[in-house]
Amino acid sequence: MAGEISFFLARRIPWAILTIFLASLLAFSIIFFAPGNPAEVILTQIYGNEPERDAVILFIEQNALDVPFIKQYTTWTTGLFYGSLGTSLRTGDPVLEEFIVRFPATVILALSAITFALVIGLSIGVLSAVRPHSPIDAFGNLIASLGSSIPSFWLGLLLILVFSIHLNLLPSFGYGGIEHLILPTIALGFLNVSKILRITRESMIDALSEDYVFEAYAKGLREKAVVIRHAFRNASVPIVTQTGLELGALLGGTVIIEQIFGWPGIGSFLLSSVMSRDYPVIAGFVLLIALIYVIVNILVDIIYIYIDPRIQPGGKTHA
Amino acid sequence: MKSVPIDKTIQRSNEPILKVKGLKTTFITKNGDVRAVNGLDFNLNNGQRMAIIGESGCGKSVLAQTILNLLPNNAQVSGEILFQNSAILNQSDEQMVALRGKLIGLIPQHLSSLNPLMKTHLQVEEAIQPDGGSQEKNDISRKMLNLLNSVGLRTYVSERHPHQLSGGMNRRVLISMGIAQNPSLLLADEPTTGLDTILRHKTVKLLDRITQDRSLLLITHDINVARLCETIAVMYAGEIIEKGSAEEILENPKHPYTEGLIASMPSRGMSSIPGLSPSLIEIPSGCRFHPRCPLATEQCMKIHPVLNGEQAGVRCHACS
Amino acid sequence: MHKHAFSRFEQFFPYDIKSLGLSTGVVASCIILILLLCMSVFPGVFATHDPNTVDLDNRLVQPGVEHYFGTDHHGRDIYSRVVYGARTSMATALSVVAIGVIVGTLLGLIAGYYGGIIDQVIMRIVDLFLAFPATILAIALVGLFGPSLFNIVLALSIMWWVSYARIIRGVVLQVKEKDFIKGAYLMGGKNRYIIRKHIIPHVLSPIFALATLDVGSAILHITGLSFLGLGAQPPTAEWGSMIQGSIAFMETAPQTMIFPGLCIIITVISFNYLGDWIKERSDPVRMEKITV
Repeated sequence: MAGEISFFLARRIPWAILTIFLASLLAFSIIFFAPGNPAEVILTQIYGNEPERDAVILFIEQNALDVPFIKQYTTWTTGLFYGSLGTSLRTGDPVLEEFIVRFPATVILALSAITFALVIGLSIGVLSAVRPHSPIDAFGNLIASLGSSIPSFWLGLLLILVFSIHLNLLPSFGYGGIEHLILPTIALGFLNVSKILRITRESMIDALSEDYVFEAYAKGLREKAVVIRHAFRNASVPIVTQTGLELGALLGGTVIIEQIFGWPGIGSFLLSSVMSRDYPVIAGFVLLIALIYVIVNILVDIIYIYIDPRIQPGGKTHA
Repeated sequence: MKSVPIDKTIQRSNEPILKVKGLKTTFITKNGDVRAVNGLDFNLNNGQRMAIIGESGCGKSVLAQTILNLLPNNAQVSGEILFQNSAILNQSDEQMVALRGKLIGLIPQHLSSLNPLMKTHLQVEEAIQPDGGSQEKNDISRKMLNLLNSVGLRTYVSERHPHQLSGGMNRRVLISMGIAQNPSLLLADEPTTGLDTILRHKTVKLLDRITQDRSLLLITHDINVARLCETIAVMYAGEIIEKGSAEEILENPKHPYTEGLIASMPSRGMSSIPGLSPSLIEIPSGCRFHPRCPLATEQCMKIHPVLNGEQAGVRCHACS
Repeated sequence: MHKHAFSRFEQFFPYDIKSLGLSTGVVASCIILILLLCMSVFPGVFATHDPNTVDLDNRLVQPGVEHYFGTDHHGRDIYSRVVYGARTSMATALSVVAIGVIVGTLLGLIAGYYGGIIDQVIMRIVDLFLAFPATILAIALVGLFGPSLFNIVLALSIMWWVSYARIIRGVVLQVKEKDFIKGAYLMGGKNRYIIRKHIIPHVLSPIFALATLDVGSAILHITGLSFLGLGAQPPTAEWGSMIQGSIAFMETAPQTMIFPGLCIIITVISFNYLGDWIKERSDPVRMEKITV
C-alpha cells in the first residue's frame, strides 16, 4: 500500500506544483496590473486623510513598488525559496507570519463546519435512503432545499439575532471557547449539509439497488448490517468526492462568516487586505490557499485508494 | 408466530421440503401489473433435485426472490409457500432471517452479487456467520478456508478482491457462500450464465457434488445444465406447463413449448420457437402459449388448461 | 408489513419534487419567477415608493399599510427597494450564467473538437480554476478592480464557464468516438455541421438544467459579495448590500434584515426547484455519462 501511495504521489506532485505556480503567477499579475495605487490607499487608511504626494513617493520607494513586474515577481518567488512571502504593506509584518498566526482559527472553524455538515448530512441522508417517502425523508428534503437557498451571511445574522441578542445564549463576536464556535459553525456549515445530504441519499439509493445488497440479505444479514457494511461503504466514494469539493466552498465561505462573527482567521484578514490593496498579503494568501487546497485534494485522493481497491494510483479504475 | 422446525435429517422420503401452491407474484409498475409468477404449483421432496427451465423473462428468478421474501416494495404476493410444512409467506423479517442462509441457501445469478470493495474472505465469512453469532474468529477463518477448498479454490483466493479473480472463480465463491451454513434447501439461480462450455461442465459437476445430501431447486435456461436434476419443470408465462423426470422431458416432451425448447438446442437443430415470449403484463387468454402454438384450437384460446399430474404432467388441451 | 431497505426495480426520484409529492411546487416556482421577471422589467409597476427617496422622519418604521416591509435607517421603503433589487439580482445573475454558458460552450467545443495541445491547455486552465476556491479569487479580483456590480459579474464569469466547458467537451469526445469510425474521411467543413447537429440535442438538457440551478447559485454569490461591500454601491438597492446596511439596526428593526433575506431565499428556492425539475425530465443517467 505504501508503495502505491508513493507512486501515486510521484505522479501527482509535479502537476500540483505546476498548478500552484500558475495560480501564483495569475494572482500576482492581476494584483500588479490592477488599477489603484496601494500607497495612496494604505496611507489614507493610516493617517485618515489623503496623503501628500511626497509621502506617497516615499512609501513607493520604501516598499519597492516602482520596480518593473518581472523584477517584482522574481524577487517575490526567490523570497519563496527562503520561506518568505514578503511583508504586509499595512502591518509591516511578514506575510507568512500573518498567515500562520491566523490559520489555526480558520482551520478550527472549517473543520467544525464540515464535521457539523457530515454528522447531519450523513445521518439524515442514510435514513432517507433507507426509508424513502417517510417523514424523515420529507424532513431531509426540506433541509436540503433550505440549505442550498439560504445565504450564509443572512443565516449568520439571523442566528445572532435570535441566539445572541434576543435569547442571550451565545456570544456573537470573537474567539474563545466552544460557545464562540457554535453559531459560526452552523452558519458556515448549513450550506454543506444540503449538498452532503443529497449526495449521501443518492449514492445510498444507488448502492441499495445493487446485487451485492440483495445477496447480503439472502445470506441472512439483518438490515442494519447490510446498510452499514455493504451499502454505506460502497456509497462512500461519491460522498468523499463531494466532501472534498465542499472544502473549496468552505474556504470561500469563511471570509464572510469570519467577517460577521469577528473570527480572527485568514478570511477576514484577506478581506481587509483586499480593501486596502495590500498586495503582498493578497498574493501570498492566494498562493498559500491554493497550496492548501491542492494538498487537501491530494489527501482526498489518497483516501480513495484506501476505500476503493479498484482505483489504480494512476487514476484509472480496474474492471 | 409459527416456529420453523429445524429439520436437517436428510432422507429420501416423500415428505416435501418445499410446497408451493397457487403462487402469484405481481409487480405494480407505472406501465401496468407485471405478473412474473402467475399460478405456480409444485412440490419439492426432501433430498430431491428439481430444475425449472424456461426462457429469460418468464419469472424464474422472481421465484427465488419470493421464496426468500426479498422482493421490492412494489411486489404483491398471494398463494402459499410451505417450507418444512410451515407457511413462510407472511412471516416477519426476524423469522425469515432465521431461514435465509441457514436453512435456505441461495446461489445468485450475477457476479455483481459480490461486493467489489470487500475481500473474498470477508464475504465468505459473512456467509458462514451473518451476524450476531458466537463462533470464534479462528473457527470462522478455518471454516472459510475449508469451504473455499471444497469448491476447488486455493487459499490465496481469500485475500483477493472480486475484480482480481476470474469469472469462474467468482462463481465458485458464490457457490461456496450458498452452502456456507449447510442449508437443507439450495436455490441455484442460473449458476452457469456466461460460462463457456468447459467451465459450465465443471460447475455442473460441482453442483452435483454439493447437492448429494440436500434438496436443490435449480433455475436455468440451459437444458443441458438441467440434466443434473432428476426432475424438470418447464415454466412459461409464470406457470408450469410441463413436469416430469429429466429423461422424459428431454427424450419425450409432450407440450409443444417443451418440444420447441428442446428443438432449439444447438445439438438438436437449433430451430427457434416462432413469436415472442409473452409480455407479463398482458397475458394471453386461455392457454398462454396459444398465440405461438402450432396445435392451437378454439378451445385453447378460451379455456386455461390444467396440469394433469402431480409428479409428472402437462398443461395442454392438445396433448392430454 | 415493513419492508427493509432495498430498492431494486424501484423508481428513483430525485430529492425535491417527488419526496414532497408536489408538482405544485414547480408551478409555484414558475409563478414566482415570472413575477420576479416582471418586477425586474417593470419595477415601477410593483413598487410603492421611490427606492432611493430618503425620509429621515420615517426611519426604521415597522411593516404596515403605508410601508409593506417597513423602512430602513434612511427612511427608504424596504418593499420598493426589494422590488428594484430584484432587477439588480436577476440582471447580474443571468449575465453571469449567460456568459458562463457561452464561453464554456465555445471553449468546450474547441477543446473537444481539436484535441491535442489546445485541449490540454484548456483543460489545464479548467483544472486551475477548479484548484481554487472561486469566492476567494472573486474577492481578490473585485476588490482590486474596484467594487462594483459590473466587476462582480466579470469576476464571477471568469470562473463560471468551467463546468460548462467540461460538459460540452465530454459530449464532443463521446460523439467523436461514435462518428470517428464511419466519418474518418469527413474531416473538414462538413464535419463541423454534422457534429453540431449531433452535439446540440445531447447537450441542451443538461446545460439547461445546470444553468437554471446556477442562476440560484449566482444570486447567492452576488448577494454575498455585495454584502461584503464589493458589489453594489450605495444608494443602489441590492439585496445583499441592504442586509449589510441592516446590521447596526438588526436588534430594533429586524425588518431591515429579514425581508431582503427572505427574498433571496424565495428566489433561489424557485430556481432550484425549476432546475431540479428540468434535471429530472432530462435523462439523469445520460447526464452522468456526459460530465466527463
